[in-house]
Amino acid sequence: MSDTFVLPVGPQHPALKEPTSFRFKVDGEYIVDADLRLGYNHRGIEKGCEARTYVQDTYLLERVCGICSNAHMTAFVQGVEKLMGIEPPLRGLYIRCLMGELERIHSHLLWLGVAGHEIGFDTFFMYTWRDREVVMDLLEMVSGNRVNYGMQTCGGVRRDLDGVQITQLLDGVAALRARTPYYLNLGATEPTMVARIAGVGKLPKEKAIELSAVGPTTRASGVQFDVRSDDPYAGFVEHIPFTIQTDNGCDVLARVIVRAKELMECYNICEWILRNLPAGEIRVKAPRKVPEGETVSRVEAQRGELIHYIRANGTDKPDRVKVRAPTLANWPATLYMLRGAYLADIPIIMAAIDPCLSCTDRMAVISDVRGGEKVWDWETLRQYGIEFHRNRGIKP
Amino acid sequence: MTAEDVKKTLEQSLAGKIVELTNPQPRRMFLHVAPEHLVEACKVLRDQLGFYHLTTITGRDTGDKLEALYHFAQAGMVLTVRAQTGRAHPSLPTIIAVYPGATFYEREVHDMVGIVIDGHPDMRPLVLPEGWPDGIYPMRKDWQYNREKGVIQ
Amino acid sequence: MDLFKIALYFLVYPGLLFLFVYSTFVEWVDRKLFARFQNRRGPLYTGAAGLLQPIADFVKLMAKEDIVPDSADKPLFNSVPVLALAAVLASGLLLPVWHFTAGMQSATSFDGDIIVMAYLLSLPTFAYFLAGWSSASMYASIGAVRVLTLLFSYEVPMFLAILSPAVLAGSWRMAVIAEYYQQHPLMLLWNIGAFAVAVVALQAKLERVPFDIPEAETELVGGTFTEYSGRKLALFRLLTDVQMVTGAGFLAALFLGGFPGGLVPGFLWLVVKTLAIVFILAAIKAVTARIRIDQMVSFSWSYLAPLALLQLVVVILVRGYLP
Repeated sequence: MSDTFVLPVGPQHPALKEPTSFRFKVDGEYIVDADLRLGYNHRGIEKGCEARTYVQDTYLLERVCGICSNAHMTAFVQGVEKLMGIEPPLRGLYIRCLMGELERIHSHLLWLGVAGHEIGFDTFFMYTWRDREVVMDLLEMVSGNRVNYGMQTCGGVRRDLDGVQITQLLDGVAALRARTPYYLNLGATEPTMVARIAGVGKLPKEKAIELSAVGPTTRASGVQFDVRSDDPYAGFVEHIPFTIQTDNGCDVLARVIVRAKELMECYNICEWILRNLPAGEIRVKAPRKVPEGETVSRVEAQRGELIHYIRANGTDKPDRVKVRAPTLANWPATLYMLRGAYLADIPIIMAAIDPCLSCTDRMAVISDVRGGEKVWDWETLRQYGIEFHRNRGIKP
Repeated sequence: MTAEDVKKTLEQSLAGKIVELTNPQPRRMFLHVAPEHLVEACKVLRDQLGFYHLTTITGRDTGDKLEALYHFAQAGMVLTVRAQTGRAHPSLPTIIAVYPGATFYEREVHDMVGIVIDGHPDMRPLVLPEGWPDGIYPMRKDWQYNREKGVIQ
Repeated sequence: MDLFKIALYFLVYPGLLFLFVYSTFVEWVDRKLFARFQNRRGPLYTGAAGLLQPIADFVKLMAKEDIVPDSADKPLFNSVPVLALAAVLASGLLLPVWHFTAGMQSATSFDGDIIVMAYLLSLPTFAYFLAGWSSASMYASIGAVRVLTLLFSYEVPMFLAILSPAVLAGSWRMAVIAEYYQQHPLMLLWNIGAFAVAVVALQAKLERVPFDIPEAETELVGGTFTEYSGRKLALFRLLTDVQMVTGAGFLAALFLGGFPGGLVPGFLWLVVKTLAIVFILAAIKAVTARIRIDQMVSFSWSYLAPLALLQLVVVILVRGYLP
């Protein structure tokens, strides 16, 4: 055990909820080096966008990710709105913002549970996920769906809120507000949990800036970086009051605290919107064709800054759509945090950036410790699978 | 920092090196520079203008050329630096000396559009699958995906 | 008649049949308690209130394909589950539950049986190590190393802790120790520190949260059992359950006054006392997060071992000054 060996984590591994592949060089319990391979989930959405109309793209881009579907949709439609030169009505903007915040609540509660699960604290997982059902039900009530809400459209939103829904939303948010301090307290004081997350995955402020980290990851390192205030959208700052939540801990504990504090801030925003919802239309009519031009549209998704670059060529189809999901921005910082960490801290450090992977296929077969590893492409693997079953007397 | 300030500083520091500087929408600026001035422009942006955050790099096929768009951000402003290169031997200098966070974006641009990043320490594929043929770049306009017809036996 | 009794003892109670049935019941209790702690319902559908779920799981696993890795050390890989199961089943026979009187020695109750018991309960840990090491998988190898590290951290406190009731009662035989405390129940209070240490060490021995470091799912996939499937995995699961029963029974015999009153009352005491210990184990599992191996080592050497030693000193003093 004296020399190092390579420990594969992924593409399939219980610590990963989605496929990606890490190769860790480990020396006993320490990680010496880390390497990353992406692309297991690359579906060619950017290329697909170029062949579809703007309306179709709105729903295609929503399917980039299940958790931040609304963030992708918002980023795309507000970019297209900018190019078209139309401005959604205030009520539409407020509902757009409300959906974003409700989605953030559901995502952060989900993350808290996953973080608990990664360090073996399943009770925490069960508690937060039970509360997540509250906000999932609210989202379903508003949009008709639990994920992929389909709420945004060029020029506003597609569904309006009525008085009953507003009352139910306020009740749901109040219930969540009552419970969240308990998680903040638990995450910050439960001895075994603190022992696992305090001082783990250190990312100093300078490194966070240098490696262009985004979202709660960088805010937990004390960087005041939040697209909602840096580059206001959907009614933020001008209309909707909001403060950036940061923490100076630079470790996983700080990321738990930042997310719990952001939850409280989300409740404030949601309640403010619901109490101050202006009357009026929810959308304006948008043209089919978009004049030539280019723009950058940014949204603060749950995991951080999400950017869509859209280039229009005067037809009803975009010339280029570029999507950069927040997770890609956080990988360099994650590799930095993983070097020198304990093997046992891999899952929680990776989970701490709330990874969400959307990117084609490739397979790695780990044969054994002594023989090293073989990397197979899809065709070889398929042939192997057919041969394997034929040898066992099963018709492929 | 307003768009006017940014414009003034850029015109002073990069005198004669700016191909085009536009401000089409509020809080959005586009700067076009020649590839040889790219790294210098990045240094100006980081040190003089406070663009501390590299958001991403977009690779794009304009038809006769390939271009890379470097999106930089700070509070209240997104500035996009455009650098174009010919299709025959597409290459651009690396900016990881200025923005270390650019490593994965540069690898992605190389994967998808085929711009070779000079000076990048690690040009292995990042997002393309293992058996992908060399010299084929999916985000170029002339690349079309032809699905092989599957046969159910 | 004696032969019949011995056969009954080995095969029915407290031997094979009882250990199998009761351990599945204990697993059900553990799962149900753990679920209730987490606001879940736990097993519900198989049998009344899901009582047959552990048996259903066992049968299902037994029917699954049994895969042995090409590069594994096959004889060792295949024999380890059986040997380990045999060890814990043998430890079940040593529980002082049935028609034992302090005066009479027999093959299953003799001077020094607590040492044999502790030894038999440690054997599965070595089996886990061999299982992980022989399966030639990176995850399993790391798990195996962690098993041993974990063993060195909890085993010494565990041994020190079980010494204290024995010293106080002045015997090395479980039946005698139990009888001593049945006559002097208040003396049990002197052993509370040792009981706490022993429960924590038992939790570590059973590799449950917060000490499930060798099989930490999110880090090591399945830890030492990564390459095990089908029948062998089923045996390992059964083993863990039986180990929980005999471990809890062991602690009950030493710290809670054993199982007095002959066959039927003794059986009832066994159920009540083991379930009480399982309740504590489930509660610990529900309220903690998994700690790191280095934290485990420092925790057990800076808290568990000193506490056990202090307890031993207290017991020796009590033994010296009390009549």
